[in-house]
Amino acid sequence: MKKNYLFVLALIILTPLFATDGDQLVGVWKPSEGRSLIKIDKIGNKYYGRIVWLKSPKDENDEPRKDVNNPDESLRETPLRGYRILKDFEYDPEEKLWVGGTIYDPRNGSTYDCKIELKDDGNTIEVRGFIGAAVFGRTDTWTRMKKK
Amino acid sequence: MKYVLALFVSSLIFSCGIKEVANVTTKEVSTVGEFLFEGPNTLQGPSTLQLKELANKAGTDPNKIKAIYLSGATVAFSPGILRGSVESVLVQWVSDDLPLVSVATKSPLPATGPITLEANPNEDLLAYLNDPSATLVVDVNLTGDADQLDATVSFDLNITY
Repeated sequence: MKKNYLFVLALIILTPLFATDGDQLVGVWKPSEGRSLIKIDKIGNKYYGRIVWLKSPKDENDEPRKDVNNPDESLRETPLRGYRILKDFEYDPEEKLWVGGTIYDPRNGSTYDCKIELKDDGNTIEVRGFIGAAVFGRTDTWTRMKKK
Repeated sequence: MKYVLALFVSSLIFSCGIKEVANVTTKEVSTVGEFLFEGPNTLQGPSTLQLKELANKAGTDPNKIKAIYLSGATVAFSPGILRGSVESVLVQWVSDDLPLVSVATKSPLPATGPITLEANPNEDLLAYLNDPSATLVVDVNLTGDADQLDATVSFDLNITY
């Protein structure tokens, strides 16, 4: 029993040492439109965000909303709830940005280059989708969801 | 002589353009997820498919493979998991050096029988199958909580060489 306590204590002390600055992005975020929640997690050394909640999860036929606008027909049966709309972001510690990833807009089936910046409050990110150069794009502000 | 030469050259050009395609069914790749909750969850596992093994099955050399496309995929969940507890499946490949790519999906799952996925035939998987850091990622939507869920996926591949 004592061993178990020591293990848990070591885990609590050491866990922050393994977390990187990039891991500040991990969590659940609410885009400004408020119709969805996006959970960002890490696979390997990259970050991915998936839809975990939809304000309107069902379509007009009372079926789960699917990715009907995906340019790849074979993927149009994939439910939107659970869909990864943010893909392949890597943390740039010098710029303090998550870069190199893409954002997918299920409303039109388009994928854009994307970069993410964490604001000083630690609970707001600016998600900028763009085509080619970052100056030609749109920025949306997402808010971190916290446990009550 | 002129005709012989023309025949030789044209047959040479023709033979260089020939592609052979082998259909190969892979062994099962295992993925696992723990402490899962109702809603979207992720199972992961190292991609244990070896290019050399696939090349052997196709009857060719790994270095001669030009492309690998998916023609089908099936998934099976750990025994004891109620079929109705898994609503949907999306199979993806990713590695540290390659982007995440969606390769097969199914929603909703059939109530009985094998789970055959809708395969994405448009992605060349050669680079993923040649990358030792590649990971298989299976996203599932669950109707309830689960301590652990295992899924094995096998693939039907078209190997061009």
